[in-house]
Formats: sequence, C-alpha cells, structure tokens
Amino acid sequence: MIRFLQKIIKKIHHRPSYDTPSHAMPNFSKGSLDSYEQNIQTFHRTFDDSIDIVMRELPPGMITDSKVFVAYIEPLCPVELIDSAFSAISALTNTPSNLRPDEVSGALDIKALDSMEEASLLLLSGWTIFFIKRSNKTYAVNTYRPPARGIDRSETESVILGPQESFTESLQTSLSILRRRIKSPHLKVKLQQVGKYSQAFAAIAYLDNLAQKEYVDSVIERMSNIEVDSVFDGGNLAQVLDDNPFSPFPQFHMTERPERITSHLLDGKVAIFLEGSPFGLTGPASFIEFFQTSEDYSNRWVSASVIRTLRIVGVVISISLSALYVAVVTYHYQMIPNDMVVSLTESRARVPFPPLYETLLMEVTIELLREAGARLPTKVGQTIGIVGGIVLGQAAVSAGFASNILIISVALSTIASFITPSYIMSGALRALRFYLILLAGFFGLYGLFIGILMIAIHFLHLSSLGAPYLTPMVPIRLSDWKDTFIRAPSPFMIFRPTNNRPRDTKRQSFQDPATPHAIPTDQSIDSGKGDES
Amino acid sequence: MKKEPVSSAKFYALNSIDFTQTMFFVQSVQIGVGLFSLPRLVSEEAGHSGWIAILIAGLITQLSVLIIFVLARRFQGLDLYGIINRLFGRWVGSLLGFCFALYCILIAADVSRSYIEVVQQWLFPASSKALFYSLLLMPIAYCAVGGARVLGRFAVLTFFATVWMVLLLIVPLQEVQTDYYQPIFEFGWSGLMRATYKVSASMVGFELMLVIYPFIQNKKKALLATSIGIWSTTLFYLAVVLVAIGFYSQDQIKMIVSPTLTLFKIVMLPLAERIEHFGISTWSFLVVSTAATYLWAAGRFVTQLKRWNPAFSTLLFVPLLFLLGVYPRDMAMLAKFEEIAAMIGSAVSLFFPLFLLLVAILFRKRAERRPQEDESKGAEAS
Repeated sequence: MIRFLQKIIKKIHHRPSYDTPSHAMPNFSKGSLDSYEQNIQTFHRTFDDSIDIVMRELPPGMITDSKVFVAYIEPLCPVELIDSAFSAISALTNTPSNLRPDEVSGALDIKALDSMEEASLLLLSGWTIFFIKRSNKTYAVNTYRPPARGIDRSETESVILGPQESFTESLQTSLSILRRRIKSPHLKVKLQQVGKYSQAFAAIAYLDNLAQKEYVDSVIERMSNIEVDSVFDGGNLAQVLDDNPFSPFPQFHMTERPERITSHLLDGKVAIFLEGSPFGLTGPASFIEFFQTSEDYSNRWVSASVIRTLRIVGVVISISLSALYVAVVTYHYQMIPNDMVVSLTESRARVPFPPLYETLLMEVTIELLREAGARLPTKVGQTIGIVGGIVLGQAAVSAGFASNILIISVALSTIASFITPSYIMSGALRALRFYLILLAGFFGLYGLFIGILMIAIHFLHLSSLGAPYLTPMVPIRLSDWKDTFIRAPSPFMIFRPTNNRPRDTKRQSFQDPATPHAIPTDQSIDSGKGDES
Repeated sequence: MKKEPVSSAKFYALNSIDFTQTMFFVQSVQIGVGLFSLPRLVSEEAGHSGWIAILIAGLITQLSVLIIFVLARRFQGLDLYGIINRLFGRWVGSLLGFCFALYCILIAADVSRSYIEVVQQWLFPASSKALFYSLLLMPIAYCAVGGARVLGRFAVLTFFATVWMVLLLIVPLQEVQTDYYQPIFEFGWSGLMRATYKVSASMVGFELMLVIYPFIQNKKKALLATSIGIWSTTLFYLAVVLVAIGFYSQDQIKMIVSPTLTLFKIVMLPLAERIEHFGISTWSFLVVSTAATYLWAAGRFVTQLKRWNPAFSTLLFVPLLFLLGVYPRDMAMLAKFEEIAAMIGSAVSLFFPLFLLLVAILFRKRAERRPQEDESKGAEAS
C-alpha cells in the first residue's frame, strides 16, 4: 500500500533534471589541505559575502611568532570564548609538537583538521578556525555558545503536579537537563547532523543496558539517511523518520517535559533531541502512551486510574459522538428511547437542515473558534473563546440553525478531544471526526462502523520503529495492562513495559507493602505521648 | 516485505501470529453471518433438539482439524498451495490451487453479500446494494493487504469489539421457557444429520488453517489453539441456539428469517433501544475478518507464483470479489447462491484435506523426501 502511494508521489513529483544541480556545500578538494595562502583564498571565496563571518589575519607576535589566520561566526561565539581560544592556540603552538592538541587545550574542545570541507563545516557550526602559517596546520576550537533562552515552564503540556521545567531550543540545555536527571554511565548520547542546509545537531540518547540495539541502530540509520533541506522542529523530524509518513497518527512520542523523556528512556526507548526544537522525540511509541502523562505517576493511583479511563472515554466521545448523533437522528431514530424522542424532536423541530449539515456547520464553527483562539494572544484568545462559544452557540439555537442536543454533543466532543494530553494526537483524532461524520451522514451506523474499521485496520498496519502500534491491546500483553487503562499502585510496577523489549526487564524489587520501613510500635507511640504530656 | 529477497522461512517468521491470535483467528473466521439464521435452520430440520446438531458439527469440525494438522505437520513449512504443488506437480497443482483460490473468493463474496443483505433488510431498506457492498470491500481489501500479521491482530480486535454482544443474550434468557426443550432427546437421525449439514456451513473457516499454518509461531501449541477456537465458536453457537429455542416456540422460530437478530430486538437499554441496529453494524468486524482472511488466502495463491508482491497479488482478486458479490440480484437468487456456497464450503473444508492426506499417504515417497531437501537447503542458505 505504502509502496503504491510512493509510486504515485514519484509520478506527481517528476521533474526534468537541470544541468547544474545546486549543492548545499560547495565542492572542496577533499582529503589533504592546501597551502596556507590557498586555504585563506578558499575561505575568502566561500564566505566573503557574509558580514557575520569574521575572517582576520593576525600578524606574527599576536598569538605566536608566525602569521595566523582566524575565522569565526561572530553571533555564535562570545568574545570570552574566542579569547580563550586564542590563548589555547598560542599554548599549542609553543609546546613541543609531539603533543596532541587536546592535551594542551584544557577544557576547550580543540581539533587538528585535515580537510577544507571539515573546516568550513565546523566554522558554520560555530567553531573558530585557525590556519597557522609556520607549521601549516589548521585547528578548530569549539567556541559555540549561541544565545539561548532560559529554562521555562512548559506551556504546551502543563501539569499540576510534578516538575514544571521544560526543555528549550538549545541542545546543550536539553542535554544538561537530561544528565541532571539520569546520573548513569549507561546513558549514551550520540550526535548527528541533519538537513543539507540546516546541518542541525541532533542528539540520540538511550540507555545502552536497557534499549534494544535494533531500535537504536534503526534510529541512527534513519537519521543518517535523511535527505532534506532542513529540519526545524521535532515534529518535522518525526515525519521524516516515521514508519508510515502517510498516516494521520504520530509514530513518535513528542514532549517537552524532561521527566517524561526520562521515564521513557528508563523504559528502554530511544530519545532524539534536535537543536532548535524544545521537543524531544521518543520511540518506539504505542497508541496508548499518547494518553498518559507524567502526572499519573505523581498522583495517587486511584485518581490517576480514573483520569486515565476518562481519557479513553474522551477519545471515544470525541471521535464518535457527533457522528453517532448524525447517524441516529438521520437513519436510526428507532434507537432513540421513547422518553428522549420528545425533547429531541422539540429541539430539532425548528432546524431547517438535515442533521449532517447541521452538525458540519457547528463542528466547523467550533474548529474555527479553536483555531482563532490558538492564534491570537492569550488574553484576546480567551475573549474569542467565551464570546464566540457562548454567543454563537446560543444564537445558533435561538435562530433555529442547530438543535440544543447537537450543541451539547459538539461541545462535549470538542472538550473531550482536549483532554488528550498529546496535542498532535488530539489534532489527529479531531480531524478523523469529520471523516466519520461524513460517513455517518451518508451511510448511517453502517458507514460509521466502516469508518471505524478502516481506522482500526490502519492502526494494525501501523508500527513505530517496527514495534506494533496498538500494544498492549493487540497483540495482547496482559502484563502491561497494569499501566495502560489504569495505573496500578507502585508495588505492582515491578517490570518494565514489554513493548520496547527492554534488555533488562526488572524495574524495581518487590516492595512488600506489609512491612514499611519504620513502623512506630505501640509502645513507642505510647511513650512518645507520655513525653509530650 | 520491504526488501524483495526474503527467504520463505524468514517471511513466515516476520509475519508470524502467536497463540492467542491463532485462537481468535479461527474463531473470527468461523463466525460470519450464518449465526443470524442458525436457530431457524436447525429447528426446521431437527425441531427442538436442533442444538444437538451443533455439538455434532463441532465434533466433526474437530475431526477435520485433526486431519488438517496431520497434513500440515507432514509438510512442515509448506502452506496449502505448496502442499498441492508437491503432490500433483506444478501444472495440476496450480490448477487445483487456483480452484481453491476461487473457492476462497466465493466464500468471501457469500459472507459479505449476505451481510449486506442483512444490513439492507434491517437498517437501510432503500439503499443501493452495489454501493454498500463496495464500501464494505474497502476495509476487507485493506485488512487482507496487511497479511497474516494484520489478520491475526484484527482477529483479536474483532473479539474484543464483538464479545459484548454475548451479554445481550441475558435479556431473552430471562424469558426462556424450559418446556420448549422437552423431551430433550427426541429427534430423528435423518433430520439431525440434515441439521448438522446446515450447521456445517457456519462452521466453515477452519480449513484456512492449512494456509495460515506456516505463519503460526508456536507450531506445537497450534492444534490446542485451533481447538480452543473451534470449540468456543461451537459453544457460542450452542448458547445462541439454546436461548433461541427456549425463547420462541417451534412454530414461531420457523417463521422468522433471522431469529438471532430478533432476539436482540427485545433488548432495551435506558440510553438506546433497538440495540440490534448497533449489533448489526458491529457485526461488520466479524464479516470483514472472515472475508479479508479468505481474500488473503486466495491472494496467497498468486503470491506463491512469485510474480508480484503480496499486496498486489491480494488486490488482484478484489474485482472478482466485487462481481461475485453483486451477481445475486434478489433474495431468492442470494438464497440459491448461499446454498451453493454452503455446499461447496462444507465439502471443501471436510473432504479436501482428507483427500490431500490420502493422496499424500498413497504417494508416500514423493511427499516426504522433498520437504527434507527443502529444509537442508534452508539450513545451507542460513
């Protein structure tokens, strides 16, 4: 199926090839470096038109006793760092040549280069490049420290209980948050650059004693096979890595909450961070994980379980309630109980449209309001929501555009779609609602069920990094059910979820709830009381 | 399936189905639309003792499953088409295989078309059959394209999506009259046999074990899983028929076309009445599961010719499925069509494996040598 679609896309996108394909990186002579002057010439030729790239030739005596050419990108490198880079280079050139550059550099990252391609790549990545005339050597010092925003509260995934910090656009900050939370030598971080033009840094993090090697390799392989101009966001990157890019459903979990990613890593998943995106991706993801939050684990298990069940009910309501209304009112009015018929007919008596149009009208209105609220600044957005929602809804009913019961069903399904914690998932489900409404409008309950069947079969076809999407429901993994629809109390959480096939399955030793750590005996309580009085 | 050169053993391993999936697979392929009219069929032939026919049909099915497993174990690692090719050579084997594929399409068309007929009678009296039928073909084709893996998982999903309907039996169960069963063992053998024959049409589906067998992960427990599957189907049928016989009088039950659905009609929930509308729609899961599996089984015939990729091979049969489904124009024609399909179905599912086994025993040498060669080849390759 996918292959067929790909074929079509190839046909659509067929273009005559042009004679001079433009390359993201200019062609450098690969392999060895040229002479000092030629290198400078190449650099000038390549980077001359940009004012932000600083290229200077320093006379002998400034750093060392020979001419030194230095190049860096000013906005990416703070002055102090460049200064210390200068002193590192001066120390390096004054030491005996048998020392490797990293032996004298101190804390700075320093590299001896052997190709111009590498030099220009590193320059663009924020390193400072030095050509030294006397020894005809080239060094690069890592002076990359771009301005970044501080760690902030998570706006898109807010929780009431639990840590409030979130990842930021800076990869360094994100990794520092991660390291702070997992102090284990098993946490491995690999770096890759993605995008022909963006060359954005992406970090692949995993715990090597937990994550299945297949998944790690698969992520690394997919990352290195990416051939796009740029990736600018986690969601964007996920769609390049997906198993099935045609699916409406996300196949990677995307979150900006550190504790969420931490727990995913500890479940044996692989995480991907992208420079420039505050969202981390984790995979393999399963459908049910999009309905879990880290709050569930901070909360007591009963309330967490109730909320989880509620979310699943919310999904069912949000995708099928309006469609069910259309189907029942149009074709299957026999299904409506006697007592309800009266109120339903009353409210529908004045409506001039068939239920399908009526429902589509209100659904589109609600989506318009939602989108308008999301685009506008917060304060105006709230006004739009309240005024639009209440005024429009009330007016639609009194004008006879829509029935009261429909307004309830539309509002309920919209609210229900908002309790899905993952924004991408809730968007996907909301979009499917229209498809189901149309099917229900044309073919009644039968059409609705054909639509649901198509979605269900699509779920079965889906996989995330090769792992089935619908676990632990299908295929059945009964041991994982303790952490899907409900959240069992923590003594039950002995084993990790099996979906990620963690290499070490045991999460915690069995805690016997009967013998907590230090129970005060009756005597000590008595004596304590005695002391008080 | 992503990369072209996959050895058959690895292909089977990549698409394998596990124990629970095998269990639900058998069950969901067996249960189709036959259940709707089952109580009437058995009562017409065997009166109030018709339920015994279901047990007998279950026993016969178990026997047939045993034959299938003897056959499948004999040709370890081969599916039905492979076995036929081994037994009869390439040309006759291909012809027979093609006939089996046609049979699969016939059953798939029969099930889906009968379902559309029920949908039309109960939900949409004035609708276009061809349109509704082609709508149903979409999930069927999409499911079949996914191969054994998706089919196995879909069977599990189908079970969970439809198992709640058993609860609907509780309401008519409260109004069961025990006198209707008495005298319990009063039956004529010929009537009972005819009833068993009628039931066997609803039992058809287990013969696909021959096609799915190489995909089963744990081959040692496959027989157990299959047996659990067929017996849960049998017991489910038995429960429905028992309730129906106790609920209706014998004169009444013979007048109703789909007694099972009429049973559901009396259920009234505070939130919804006429729950059978919902039930019939949900039944599409079972129909899609059955029809998609048959479509896939037919597609396996083209797949093993190794000319096209599995998905395309399966889709090749969809036009035929469509034409066969829209061919019967009215109820009478459909009844005839169903009758023929039922006859062919029970004949194929019972006697075809037996026939193959007999041939295999007769030409013992030929059958046993080749798979061993194949195994050694596989060992060398890996």
